[in-house]
Formats: sequence, C-alpha cells, structure tokens
Amino acid sequence: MAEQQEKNLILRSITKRFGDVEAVQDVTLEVRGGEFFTLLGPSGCGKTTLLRMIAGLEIPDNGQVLLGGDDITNLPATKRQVNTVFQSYALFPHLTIFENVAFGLRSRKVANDEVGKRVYRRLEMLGIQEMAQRKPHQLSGGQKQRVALARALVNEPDVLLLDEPMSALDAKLRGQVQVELKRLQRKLGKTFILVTHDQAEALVCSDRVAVMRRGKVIQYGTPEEVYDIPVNRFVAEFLGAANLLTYQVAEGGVQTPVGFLKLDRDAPKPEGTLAIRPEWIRISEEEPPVNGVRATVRETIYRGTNFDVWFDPGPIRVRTSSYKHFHPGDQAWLKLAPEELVVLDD
Amino acid sequence: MRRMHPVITSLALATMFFLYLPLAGVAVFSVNSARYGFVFQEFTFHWYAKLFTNQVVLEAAWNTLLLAMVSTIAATVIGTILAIGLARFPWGKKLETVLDVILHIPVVTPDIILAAALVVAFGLLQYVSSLFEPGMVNMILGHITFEISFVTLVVRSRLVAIGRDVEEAARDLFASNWYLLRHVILPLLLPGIVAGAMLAFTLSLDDFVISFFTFGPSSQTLPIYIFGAVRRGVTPEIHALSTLVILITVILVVGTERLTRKK
Amino acid sequence: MTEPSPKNIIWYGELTTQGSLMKRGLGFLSPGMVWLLVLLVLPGLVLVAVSLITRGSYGQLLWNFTSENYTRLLGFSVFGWTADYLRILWRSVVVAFFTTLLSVVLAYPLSFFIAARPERTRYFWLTLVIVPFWTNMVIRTYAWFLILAPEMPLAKAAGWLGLVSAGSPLYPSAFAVYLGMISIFLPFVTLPLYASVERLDWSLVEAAQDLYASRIRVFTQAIIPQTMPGLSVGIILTFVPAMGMFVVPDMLGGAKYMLVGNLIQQQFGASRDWPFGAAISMGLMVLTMISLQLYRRKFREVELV
Repeated sequence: MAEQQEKNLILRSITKRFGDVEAVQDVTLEVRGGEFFTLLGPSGCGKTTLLRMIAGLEIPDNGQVLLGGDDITNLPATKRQVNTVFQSYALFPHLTIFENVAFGLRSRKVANDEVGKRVYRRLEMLGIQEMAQRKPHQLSGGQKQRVALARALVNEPDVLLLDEPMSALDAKLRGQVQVELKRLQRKLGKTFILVTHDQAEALVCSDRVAVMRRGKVIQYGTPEEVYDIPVNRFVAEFLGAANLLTYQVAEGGVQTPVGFLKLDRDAPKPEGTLAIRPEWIRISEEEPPVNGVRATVRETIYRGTNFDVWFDPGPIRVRTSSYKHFHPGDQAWLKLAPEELVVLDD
Repeated sequence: MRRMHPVITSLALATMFFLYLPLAGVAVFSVNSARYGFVFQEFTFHWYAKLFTNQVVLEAAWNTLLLAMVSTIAATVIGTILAIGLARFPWGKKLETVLDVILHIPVVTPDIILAAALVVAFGLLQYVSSLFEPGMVNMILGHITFEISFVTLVVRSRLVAIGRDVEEAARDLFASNWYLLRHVILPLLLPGIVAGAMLAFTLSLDDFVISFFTFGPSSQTLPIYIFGAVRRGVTPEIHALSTLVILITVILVVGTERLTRKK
Repeated sequence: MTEPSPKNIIWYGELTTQGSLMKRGLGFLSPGMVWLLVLLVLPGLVLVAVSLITRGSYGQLLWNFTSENYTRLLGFSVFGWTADYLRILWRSVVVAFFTTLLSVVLAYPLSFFIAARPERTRYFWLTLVIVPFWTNMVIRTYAWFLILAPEMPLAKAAGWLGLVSAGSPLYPSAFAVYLGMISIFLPFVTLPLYASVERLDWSLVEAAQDLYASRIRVFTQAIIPQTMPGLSVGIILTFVPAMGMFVVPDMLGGAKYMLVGNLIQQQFGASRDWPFGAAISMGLMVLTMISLQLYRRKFREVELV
C-alpha cells in the first residue's frame, strides 16, 4: 500500500480571522503524500483552526488549500476526501460502534455487504471487533479513540486529520498510543496530519513538524532538525529544555555571561542568544581544550533516567546519566562544544 | 447517606402529610356508602360504578383526553421545529432576544391573562367565522399556544446539549442535510421530544383556567365538570371521580419516569 | 475548481451562504413563531386595546377610546372614590407573597429530606411530590372541602376554641385560601429546589461548620447561595400563577376573600364586561412584572454577598 501514489497537500498563504483576532496569519506549508505531519504549538496558536480549514470545517479568509493539485478551498467537508479524528472523538452516542464506523459509508450509500466487509476490516485492524455491537458510553477512552480512528479510516481518506487525539488519555496510555499511531501510519502509508501541544508526541510520531505560534509557522522540518537546530528562543524552549545564553561578538568568538566561547561559524549579529541542550554539555575533571567553563554545583535533581545538575555561573543546566553524584559546592569543568552551540534568530 | 437533623425529618414528613391528607380524605370517602355526611358507613364501589353510567362525566372525560392528545401532538411537532429554528441558525443577538421574550411569555404571565386575551381574540374572530364560537376548537388552539413554549424550551435545551462537534463529525463523514437530520439530530433529540410531549400532555391535563375561559356547552372537561358540580354540593360521585383522576395522574407520573429513566 | 466566493460561510460543518441559511432557518422558525404571534402576541395587543374602549349595555364592545376602565380600577366612579378594587389587588399581592414565602419555608426541609434518602427510596419520595404537582388543581382544592368540613376534627377544634361558630365549616375563609394555595404551590417550589439541593457541594457546608459558623450562618452563607438557581425557578413558578389564581379563592375564599383572579373571571363571566376585565388583566400584568423586577434586583444583591 505504501507504494501507492499519495496526494500532496499544499496550504498557500492561508489567513483566518475571528473578529479582531488573526487566528492564522499567512501560513504556507507543504505536506508530502504519505508522511506523518505534525502541527505543534501552545493552545491558541491557530493549529486547530488550520486543521479545520483542511477538513472543510472553517473557510479561510485568504489563501488556498490544494489536495493533489486540486483547489479544495471552497469544497464543503462532505465532498473532501479528508476525514477527522476529533479531540472529543465526537462519536454518535445513539449508534453502535459498528454503525458509528459505518456512518461515512452509509451516508454515501455504499452497498450493505460492502459496508460490513470494510467496517470489520478496520475494526479488526484496530483490535476492537468485539466492541462492534456496543454503544460508545460502554467504551474506555482508549477504545473510543480507536473507534474514532476506524470511523475516519474506513472511508479511505487521502488525508487523515487528528485533532489532539491523545488529550483525553492518561499519560501512560498516551505514550503507548503514540507509538501505535506511528506504526499504523507506516503500515497504511497514508498522509496523517496531527495537531498537538505535546512536544514529545510530536517528536515520537512525526516525519516532519511545523512549530506554530500566534497564528504563524515559526519553523518546520524533521523532528531532529527542529530539536537540534531551533531557530529562536520559543522553539528552543517549547521543544524540551534549553540553556539560553546572551552573547556579544568578540575577537575569535563570543562573550557570554559564563565566559568566552568559540562558535563553529560566525555569529550573524553582533548581539543575540545562544542555545545549548542540557544533555549536550559534558562534565569533566580536567579542563577541556576548548570552551571549558569552570563551574560550581548549585543543585541536583534526580529524574529517574538521569540527573539534572544546575551549575553556577549561569545557571547552566546539565543533564547527565553518570552515576557520579554531585553535591552543592562541588566544582567541575563543563564543555560547551562549539558544534553544539546554536545561534538563535532572536 | 447524609443524616438529617430530626427537626428537618419531622418537618418534611409533616409537609408530606399536609400534601396528602386532603387527597387521602377524598379517596376514603369515595368508597363510603353514605350519600351525605362524613361518617364512614361501609365499603362500596357503588359510586365508581355510577360514574360509568353518567353520560356527562364520560363525555367530559373524553373531551379532556381529546384536548390533551390533539394539543400535545400539534404542540410537539410545532415546538420541535421551532426549537431547531431557534438553536441552529445564526439569528444575531437582537433577534434572538426578541424571540426568546416571545417564547417566555406563557412562562411569566399568569394564565388568567392568557385566557382573557384568548377570549377577547376569539370573541372578535367569531365575527369572521363561527368556528371560533366557544368550544373544542378554541380550547385546542389555546392549549397548543402555551404548550408550544414549554415543548420548545425543553427540546432546545436538549439540542444545545448535543453540541456542535457531533454535527461536524457527521458532515466530515459526508452526511447531507436530510441524512444529518434523520440519522443524527432527530434520534439524539428523541428523549427531549418525548419529555417535551409528556410535559405538554400533563400541562393540558393540569390546566383549568384556559379551558374554563374558552369552553362551550358541548366541550366540558373533567375539571370544569367538577368545578361546576361542587357548587351544587359535595357528593361521593365527585369523590370517586377525583380519586380516579388522581390515580390516572399517578400512573402517568410513574409511567413517564420509567420511560425517561431508561434513556 | 470553484471560484472563491466571499459570501460562503461554514455553519455546523456545512458550507453554505448566509442567505440560504437564513431562508432555511425561517422555514423552521415560521410555523411556531407565526402561531405564537397570532395566538399569543396579537391577542395580548388586542387585550390592551380592549382595555381602552367601552362596553355597550348588552356587553358588546364599543370602539370609542377611554381611560375609564383604568380610573375605575383605581376606585374612581360617579359615586366617588372607593378602595375596593385596590384592596383586592393589594390582597392578591400579599397572598401570592406569603404563599410563596411559606412554600419556600416548607420546601427546604422537604428537599433536604428527599436528597438524604438512599438512592433506592429517593425516587419514591420524589414521585410523592410529583403526583400532586400534576394533579389538576380543581381536584386538589376540592379535596380541602372534606378536611375543612364541620364534621371533621379541624373544624370541631376551631369551634371549641371559639375561632368559628360551632358546627360551621372552616371555609370560606382566608385560612382556607392559604391552605389551598400552599398545598398547590408547594410542589412547584420543591421540585426545582430539590434539583439544586441534590447537586449541593457539601464540602462548602462542612467548611462553614468547621469554621464554627452558626446554623443560621451556614444556611444563609453556604446553602442559600448554592441553591439559588433552583430556588429562583421555584419562586417564579409559584409567584406568577399565584398572582392570577382564581380557582382556590373561588372555591375556598368565596365572596369574603376575593382575589384579582376572581375579579377578572367575573368580568369575562357573569358581568360580561370585557373592557374592564382587560384593564384588570393589565393591572395584574404590571403588578407581576414589578414584583419579578423587584425580586431580580434583590437576587442580584444576594449574589454579591
């Protein structure tokens, strides 16, 4: 199935206002056919509005939505080969699970035996065939989510939209479902577009991520690109932890509050901010050959898989899995390697 | 369960006693063989048997039922459509307020004013058509009018509770207007429609004032019959009739509760 | 494909235009609204108009405009001024007020009692309140005849105490009217109040008790505000029909204890004086609206505390 030619989805200069609020401002994106694409951002950033415009549940004020080259901007939801898993799942409470999943086929008058075949195939694929005759209120949150998935997928959509589908699940189940969702998408080879505010979810599931803030896409790329090379403070801090250091350009490097540091390229601006992830900083007994900072332990926090150690000056947070215990007042050398230091845009 | 102070419990029980004392009295004397006075002589169903041979009572019972059924069916259909019209279209704040005020008139107006307005209106309409002579037609029109408000309010609150996302999901799954109405909205609304109809039916049975102002010589209802008969004196037949009406009310209340609780 | 058209909107997931949505909406709205306009609003306006015209000697309507009906309601006539009608209006307000107040006082213990029943019997007790709620008020009023009859203990006791002459019934009287009214309206307050009591957040009550609040303070500060929504519904459901009540005063009050409802009924019945009946109806409407408005203002104060 994965070889099948899946359609590209292109958003071109999309803008949407609600009253005085610009929910989405001039967003242009390309989602490749067959990829798992995630819109990531805090609540109110416009990601759900963007998703609803792809579904046909909102109409953009400006711009176009193109699916496989066709302009579907003004096509009603009922005529789009796009289906949605709603945040609340929005299952029909009066219908059985079977009839819930069959809804899209029945409303398009697909023949009865065909409906049965296709519904059961999806129910089996998602492991909920035993639930077929139950009503939604008899199901757990995880089961409901599978029904919502089956109900959307049974229509063989060109694009599957998922609006915060994990938000109703508890933390443990969520981690498991994220992996399953990614496997499902790989198996089907379909285009999935996920909306979430959970950065871990975005990193686990996606082939590519678009980080949104205040109606704009700030950065988009693979999870590795977005995580490793954040373009600004917002992305650096929204995706995981980051140490941010202000700098001023100096001879052969930059001057920062923790001392003189070398970069692996020239800083684009005379003043700005550097970012470095806590897990990229090395702690050593001896002074490293380059970018060494002599630091004192301020505080350590045990996190199960690792320690977070806060050092002065800075404070600089270092994430280490070493068994060595640090105590407040201990001294050590930190290595902020030039290739790990990211120069931010702001 | 929370324990109640004995004072609260005894007050509550006394209140219940106060509510039921008159009703129990009527029931007791309805099976008393004495024609006059308030001394219990012996047990009898004589007065009940007599009721079923009384043409006037039977006709009044039929009128009561006819009025309640016809007005309920009409008010339920009209009220349900009106509720959808009010809740599912963007009318704007101003118009919605106006519509809401009109809808609430029967709730915040003493029913005697409603009755007076109908009498005057029907009185003028009589010049147009003899259809509006005091009688069953006027009574049915009057009952439908106040029942519409209550049905609409009940159905609308249910409609609002269904929420937007189920309808959006149906659209996302290719449902046309008709398919959405037939397979999503109406089934989900059914408990509200049933509750609204039950309310309309009981309101009609419960009404006295509007019927009393609009009835004609051949469209007496049971309450009107009793109201008139009492002026001629208290009799065991009326005790029996009242007891029957109370029993039917009990059956209706319990039946409604059973029906709506299962949903 | 389709040219983008600025008039397109999406409403509940449906792509449509403002115009066609409104057209469809009017289709849903009109049967009910036309009905209410023709049989509710229009008759109301006609009633206002009729209150401003005169009655012919055979009860027919004469369309010459006058404020006579209103001055008559205020007590002015060719024979001078009398407070009779005003007294009846005032009495109606007083009766409606005390009926509502006493019903509320009795409804609180009753709703708390029902809410405290175990799940299995709670429904039974609730049904006991619903049955009188739905029993026709003519029958419920009539039922008091028995209890208040001269042969019954209540009348005998009153006779023995010298409150009434021995051997006479306790009706017609103000006492009988209050008994009848309260027994009819008690379920109207209890049912909505119970709905609020059932959802009461007891932690707030307990918190107040922990802070050594007196019983009265617990009630006024922790219980009344929480049950306010149900209480308000109950008060309106009681006060409004109580203002216009005519069955109970007619059967249990007689000529001695007339209320405005009886006065209106007389004009549309025996006297056949529609214009005056319409004017009294307007008076009743105004009094009801003023009372609800006063209550609303008071209610806002309660919310602020």
